[in-house]
Amino acid sequence: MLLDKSIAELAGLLRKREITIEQLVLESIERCEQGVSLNCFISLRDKQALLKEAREKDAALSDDKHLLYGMPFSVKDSYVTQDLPTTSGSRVLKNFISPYTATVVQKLLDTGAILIGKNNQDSWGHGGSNENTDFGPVKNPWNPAYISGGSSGGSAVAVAARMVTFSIGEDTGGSIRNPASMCGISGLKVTYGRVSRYGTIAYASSLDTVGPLAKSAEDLAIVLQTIAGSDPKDGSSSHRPVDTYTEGLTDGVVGKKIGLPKQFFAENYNPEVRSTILAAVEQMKELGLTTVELDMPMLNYAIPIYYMLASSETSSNLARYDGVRYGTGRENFLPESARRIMLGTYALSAGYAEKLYKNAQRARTLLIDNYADAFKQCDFIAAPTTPSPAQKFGELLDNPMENMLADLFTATINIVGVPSLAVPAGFTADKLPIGLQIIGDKFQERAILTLARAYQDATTWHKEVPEIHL
Amino acid sequence: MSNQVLHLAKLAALPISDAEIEKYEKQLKTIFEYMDQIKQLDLTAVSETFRTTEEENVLRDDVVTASLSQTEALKNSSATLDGFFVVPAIMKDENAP
Repeated sequence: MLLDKSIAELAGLLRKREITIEQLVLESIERCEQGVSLNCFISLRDKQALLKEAREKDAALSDDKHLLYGMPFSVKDSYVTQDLPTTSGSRVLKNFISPYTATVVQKLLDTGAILIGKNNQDSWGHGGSNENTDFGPVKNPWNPAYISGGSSGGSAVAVAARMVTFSIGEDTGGSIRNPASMCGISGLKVTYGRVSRYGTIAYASSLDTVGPLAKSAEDLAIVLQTIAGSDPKDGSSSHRPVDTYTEGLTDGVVGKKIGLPKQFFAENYNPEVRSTILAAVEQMKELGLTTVELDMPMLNYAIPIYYMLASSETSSNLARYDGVRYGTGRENFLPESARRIMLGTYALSAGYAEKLYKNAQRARTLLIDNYADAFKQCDFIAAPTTPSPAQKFGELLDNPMENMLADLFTATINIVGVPSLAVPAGFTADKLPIGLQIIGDKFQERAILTLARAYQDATTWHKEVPEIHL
Repeated sequence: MSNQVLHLAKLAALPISDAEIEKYEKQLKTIFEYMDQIKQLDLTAVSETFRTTEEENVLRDDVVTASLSQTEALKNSSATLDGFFVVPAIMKDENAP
């Protein structure tokens, strides 16, 4: 299978004329057809149009083309595109065709990468199970009785099932890392502002980030290199120069220090997840890293802070869906979204904003201080990605508290704005993937990718492929 | 709280059914009780962080640049008239039957 190879391997084979882009795209289409019951796409491009594009790209292939030239990829349906519908997983945007294309999608198209289709998701990013969607739940390729995780569940499944070389997800409270972890692939949440949000359907504007899901840290780095950078169309995108992520990733990590917050390693979550993450930490010590225990008491408040801020911002962002300029009516929001909108409306309403919304913003400052102190003592912070492996369908649906707690280890990172990635670190006894989270200080994407690469050079978890019984 | 749920739904312009009111009331109450943990913190001397971007006052030159055409801007609307969006009426027509 070609799609099991790394981006660099595929780019090499294309340049040696050992494979063609048409073969690669055809395999992508076939994998999508075979895995149709996983329900990870909301829209797919026309097969003949894709093959025609592939043949044209084959004819124009030269050695100086971008590494992503000819690579089949997908994007979460939260990115607007001129040529395919954009739904954000909701009937509210039924039949919506955007008059413009998101910056991240345009940058990828400009390299010659080939957009295959757009992925299913929890509508508006609201959820961690990919069940809160008007397009049917996404199934986990490791066991279709289990959820894919969310909200970028479709993107994670498309990569895990080897339908595309990489996918673009969106992470507001864990939406890239959570499904990456549950599907056994790698996913990167960038520093706030590192990648332009222009053309992303907003969930919570101060927390939303754009990032890749791929088979390995090496592939994540190639995609990040392409999509990172300032954008005049997104005022919050960073003007800092973009690091080199694709070279020197094997420089090693000897002598670096990993912080282990005791709040992340208490015994209040799934024991298989905890023991797997502790084993991964031991493995990283063998790579020459040392560990230091951290006390970050504000981590215990991350979920209340996150839900207060995210709900407030989403109530404001989703107010634009009035059914006048685009979309259908507000009666079409699913219960998870209606609840978050009402929660945020309450937190921002006259008389309560000071006590609820503003106090959450004050508590956010304290959490940021906790992280700043932590990064004075260590280079990385290790954590589980999710408190449990993928659950069976229905366990999280319409269960607001459980849905909230699924973000226990991930939402804290969005509040602070630092980067974090999830990499496969093992499996449960029932063969469900478990993900390790590596967190870095602001704009330290290169550092966390280097550690993830070193970990993946020493392990084979990321190479395991689900056997899809179709 | 059921009156409060109705009030919130009205503020948020969310049509909800009577059957849903009770469910939302229960769920929102549970969530707010959980959120109340923030009250344990002493926040009197702490300032708010509204955003984590380092960028400030991002401006551009005040020149007209390319934007959507009227056709493009209107194409996703379910109701347009003479190049405008049709919005729900907010005042009554006195002459209406």
